[in-house]
Amino acid sequence: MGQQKVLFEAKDMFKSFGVTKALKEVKLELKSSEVLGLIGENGSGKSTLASIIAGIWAADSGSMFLEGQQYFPKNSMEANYSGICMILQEKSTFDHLSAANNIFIGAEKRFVKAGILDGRRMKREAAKVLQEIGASHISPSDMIGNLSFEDGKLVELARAVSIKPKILIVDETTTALSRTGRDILYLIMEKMKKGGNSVIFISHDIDEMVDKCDRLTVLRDGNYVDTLEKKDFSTQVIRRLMVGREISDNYYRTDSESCKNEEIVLQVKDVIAGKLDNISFSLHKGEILGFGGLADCGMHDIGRIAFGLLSTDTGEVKDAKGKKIEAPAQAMSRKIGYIAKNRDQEALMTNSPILDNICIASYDKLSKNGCILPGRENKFVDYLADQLEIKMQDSKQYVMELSGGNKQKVALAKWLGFGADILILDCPTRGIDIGIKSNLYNLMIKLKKEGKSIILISEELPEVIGMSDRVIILKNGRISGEFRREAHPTESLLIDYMV
Amino acid sequence: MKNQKENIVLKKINFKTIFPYLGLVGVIVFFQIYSGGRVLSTANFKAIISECFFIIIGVTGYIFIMAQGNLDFSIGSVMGLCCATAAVGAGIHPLLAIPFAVVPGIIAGYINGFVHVKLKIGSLIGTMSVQYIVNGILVLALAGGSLTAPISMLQWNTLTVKFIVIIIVLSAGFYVFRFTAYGKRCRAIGSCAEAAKQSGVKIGKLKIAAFMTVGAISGLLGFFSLIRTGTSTVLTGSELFMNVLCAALLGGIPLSGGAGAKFSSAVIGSLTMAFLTNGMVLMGLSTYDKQLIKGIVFLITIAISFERKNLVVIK
Ligand SMILES: Nc1ncnc2c1ncn2[C@@H]1O[C@H](COP(=O)(O)OP(=O)(O)OP(=O)(O)O)[C@@H](O)[C@H]1O
Ligand SMILES: [Mg+2]
Repeated sequence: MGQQKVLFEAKDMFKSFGVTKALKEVKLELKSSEVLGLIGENGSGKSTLASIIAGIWAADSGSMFLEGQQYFPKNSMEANYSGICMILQEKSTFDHLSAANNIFIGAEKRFVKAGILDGRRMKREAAKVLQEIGASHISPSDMIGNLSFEDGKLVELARAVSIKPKILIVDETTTALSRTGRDILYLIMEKMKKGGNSVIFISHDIDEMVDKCDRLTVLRDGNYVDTLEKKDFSTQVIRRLMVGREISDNYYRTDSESCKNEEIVLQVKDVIAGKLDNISFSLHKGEILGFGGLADCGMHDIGRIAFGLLSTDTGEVKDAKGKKIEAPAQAMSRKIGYIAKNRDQEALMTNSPILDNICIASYDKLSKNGCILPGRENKFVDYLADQLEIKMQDSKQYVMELSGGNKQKVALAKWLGFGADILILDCPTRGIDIGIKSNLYNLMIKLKKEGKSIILISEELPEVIGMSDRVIILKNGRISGEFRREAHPTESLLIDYMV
Repeated sequence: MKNQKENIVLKKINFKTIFPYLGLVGVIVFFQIYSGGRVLSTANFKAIISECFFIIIGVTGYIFIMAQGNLDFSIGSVMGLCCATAAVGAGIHPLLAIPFAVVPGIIAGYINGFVHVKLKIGSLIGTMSVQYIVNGILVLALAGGSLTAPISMLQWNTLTVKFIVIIIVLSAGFYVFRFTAYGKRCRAIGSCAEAAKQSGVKIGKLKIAAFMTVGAISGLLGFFSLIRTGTSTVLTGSELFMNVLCAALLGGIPLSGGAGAKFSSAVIGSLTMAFLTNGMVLMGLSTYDKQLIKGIVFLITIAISFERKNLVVIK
């Protein structure tokens, strides 16, 4: 291993956003043919560092070397030309363009002959790339806006592969992907390595990091902490380096009794909608109901119908009193809250201050005689931000400036402040670090004890198993299995029901 | 980990935040010099208020539409039509002129909203069509002539009345925009409609409500136009849209709406527009010269505000 040559190096990197020092003298060394993991808590500067390498931001100071040459990209296109390409944490495809257009965005020149874009050749090539990465279920002419979040990510991957990069940066993408999507990603990473190229891989899943990475660089609060060799990997050590203190191993629920409360708070009956095909289930008071399945199984639509976002073709969604729920505002009047998987486009107004994002669901509560006083709003937000330990400058800061995990906390704060009795969480731990994750799990347990009910939709089977009173597995839009907590379903058993 | 409240965030002086203020001061200083000190004289105060009146009230209604990221092209023609209906009402009884002006405005606003929300036509195209339809109706109804109001109504057109109306409309607008759920939700829609919807905002309803508000305001302006000139012609209101949009953009309200829409912009922009128009009158420019200059100013502001859409966040 030691004799591998250095492919890329970054030294003394500094970057501030206003008063936030996102990077302080950070360094990074990437050898050829390796997967380097970049790990750290939310807001530790991983995305910032990665974005600088990919030419999206410029560092305040510091120097970078690609294959021994000074490297200083002015923008991401230039980084692409130098062979560096990044998959962003958030969705970064163009909704109104087709998959093919997205894959070859910025490279359309390749298909232009005598001033005319050869759309057909572009689609053919796009199909080839999609085929190559194993995502042939996406058609090149599909509009991105009509694809699921995951498929959008796969299109981004296809775009990256089509550039044939020397360095591929994957920022917190796995949690947006289902098993099949992940396998596609891992395969691409493997191929990169075989071809003598390298990958910078960012994830909050320590087991995944240990499994996939050759070396691990740890950041904490914008500081470089350490780089571990594969032989020194241990979950405990990594965690300690990340957080700066010992963190307990087990953060899921410890009890093994499922909820026995018979009181129904939400009932879904014979619903056909979106990808769902004849779904019925009921949610009980104080219950955590988990949903799992493969990418296309329709589990994300469960959240959408339960919140009244997606209207049903047949069947109905009813509350405790048997009243129908057909629109989000209606769902909210029954104290239901929902956090979409596509956080930046659906759950948050990233172009607005944190304050507005947290208060928006609670205006009715915050107003007195029709008037919402700034003082009340501030108190409300400060309390929630403190509770959830949101890392921010102040509540006037725009959400788009926050790190991924902190954005998620803002979305959670909105519904905690609203006081939801039923919380629908679609991939709630996407992009959240272990510290916050365990906070979130504790919070879920606390809410459960208070008699609130939770629908937990997640790609992470351990999480679904670890937190739910009952797990429902979907397959092709139908329920293929249901397991109570005391039955102790294992991951492999659930997978059998998924495929 | 805690809110770093104690960090005093130094405001980076950004050209775009101070542009509206610079614009206002620049316009005043320029005309003060070139008109030989007449702009800031007590004699001119009344003219400024009159000039400001229609713009500032128009922008106060318009800011709700703009906060949602929408536009309404039809306000001028609606004002024209409402001026005519007000004249008809005034013929029955002078006090009837007010409801006769406002109600058709609200109806026109509802139609705008319906076209945009229910028929799902972009506000640009939708309101533009409505503008032509309303204009057509007005031309047909006036049949080449004009309607007049009883002379007695002209005495309502005093500085005090205008001043009071401005104060009332401005404070009501400010209050609703800043301190009520409605105003906050309007901005939320402009910021991200999908997220607003998933937070319980009834987008369609609020959009229609904003169009109706602007319609009502246009109607009110139709009434004031009637008591100012005593007549209703096909040209009534024809300058309103341009003046209001220009004022809004000069004041710094972004076309994309959202959290960047500030109420102070409405006031600053209106004053700038009023001083600009008034200054040009004082300098004795012809209507065509005025239009030429306004067109150029409009273009410059659009160019500057368009960049704002990329939202350089000011901390
Ligand atoms: N555009 C921006 N403007 C202001 N501050 C920013 C901006 N982008 C990032 N920051 C701040 O820089 C810090 C580092 O953020 P970064 O996104 O790099 O974290 P991260 O390690 O990727 O976290 P996560 O795991 O949550 O994605 C955070 O405190 C964040 O609030
Ligand atoms: Mg990040």
